[in-house]
Amino acid sequence: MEKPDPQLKQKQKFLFLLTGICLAGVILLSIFLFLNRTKIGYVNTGPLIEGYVGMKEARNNYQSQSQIWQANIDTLQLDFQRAVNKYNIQLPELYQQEKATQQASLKQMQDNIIQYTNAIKEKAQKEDERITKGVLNQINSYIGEYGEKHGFDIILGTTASGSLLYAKDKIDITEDILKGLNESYNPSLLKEFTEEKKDEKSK
Amino acid sequence: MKKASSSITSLFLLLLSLLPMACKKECKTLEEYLHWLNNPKNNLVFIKYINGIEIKLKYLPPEYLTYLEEERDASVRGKRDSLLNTYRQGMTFLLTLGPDERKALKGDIATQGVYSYEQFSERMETMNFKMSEHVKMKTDKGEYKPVLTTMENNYGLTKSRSIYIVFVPFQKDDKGIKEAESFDVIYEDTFFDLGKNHFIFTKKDIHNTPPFTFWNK
Repeated sequence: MEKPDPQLKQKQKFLFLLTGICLAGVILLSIFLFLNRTKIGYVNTGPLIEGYVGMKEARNNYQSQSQIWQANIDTLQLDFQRAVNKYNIQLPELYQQEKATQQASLKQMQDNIIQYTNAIKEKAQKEDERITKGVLNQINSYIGEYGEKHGFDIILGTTASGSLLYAKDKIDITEDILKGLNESYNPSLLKEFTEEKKDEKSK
Repeated sequence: MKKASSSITSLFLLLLSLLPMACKKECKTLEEYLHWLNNPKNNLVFIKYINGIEIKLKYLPPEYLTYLEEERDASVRGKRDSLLNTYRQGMTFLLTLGPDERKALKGDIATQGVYSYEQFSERMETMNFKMSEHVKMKTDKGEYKPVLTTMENNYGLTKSRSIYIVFVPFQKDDKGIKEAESFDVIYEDTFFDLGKNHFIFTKKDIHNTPPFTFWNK
């Protein structure tokens, strides 16, 4: 029986060792690259803002307030219209001076209504901006916290006509962020708005 | 048979040993009590970070408020029960607005975003006297406006500002606050564009407060 060649055995041992070291090196490098990879995600800002209960609540409140303002303007305009109708009825019986006085009074009333309407429009616009800014700050702050917590390097925001031309679905974190955002705002409101949506759909 | 009964016994003993961990925590010192109260995990304090600002809302138990009252004025110690009863009729919270110390923005919040004396004056006036217009509490039994909001005087020592907010029933026989299961305190910010913020407390978490045993003798 032939004895095994000791030199061959040594060569084999050396090859095994070398292969082992190379394999370990590859594994360590892969782990290093994996841990230091740039983590990118994107958020579809349209659905995020629309789906956020904070925005829905803010819009509902704004609409209620707008209806009150509009009702006030309508009341003033109705009063003005009544005053004009009354003037037209009384017109044949009025003296020149009385006509002039009443016309001046109606003109003043009209100017006041226009001023009031413009002031309300400005107020409504400011209120809309204030509400929107507050909601967007909440969203941005949450996204910042989310990004830090989950180790993101970049989170991009995109709209339907935005600059992000393509991205894989797996880096779309819109749903995750929306879920966390709504839970941190008020979970019971989310339930309320979801039920409202179901009622609307069934109608 | 013997093995089965011994394993059931050991399981029972294990469950029995876990029971104390499920019970209300007993605090041995006032510091421990305050630490428990200030721990967000116990759901009696909520902290939000928005736009570089930290908003913190903390529930203050009636026992702790009574203790503070006694610390301020020793003469009321004889009226402890009466004070406790008064505080138990309503709910008191402490709202703190401060800079988000984790970010670069670290200035005094009283002057953040303020560019004139008029704006500063308006902000201080609102914080001191008009916070009741920006805070309300919704429960499953009704909605409440604060009867009292007062800013704590910090003598310029801190960059944050704290405001005490007190809700009480509208009428003597109104049991809304006592019988409510959840309390949604809503703060609508007008200073720092923080929007509307909800802080939800539950009766269950409030009842989980450790017993207060640190009265001055």
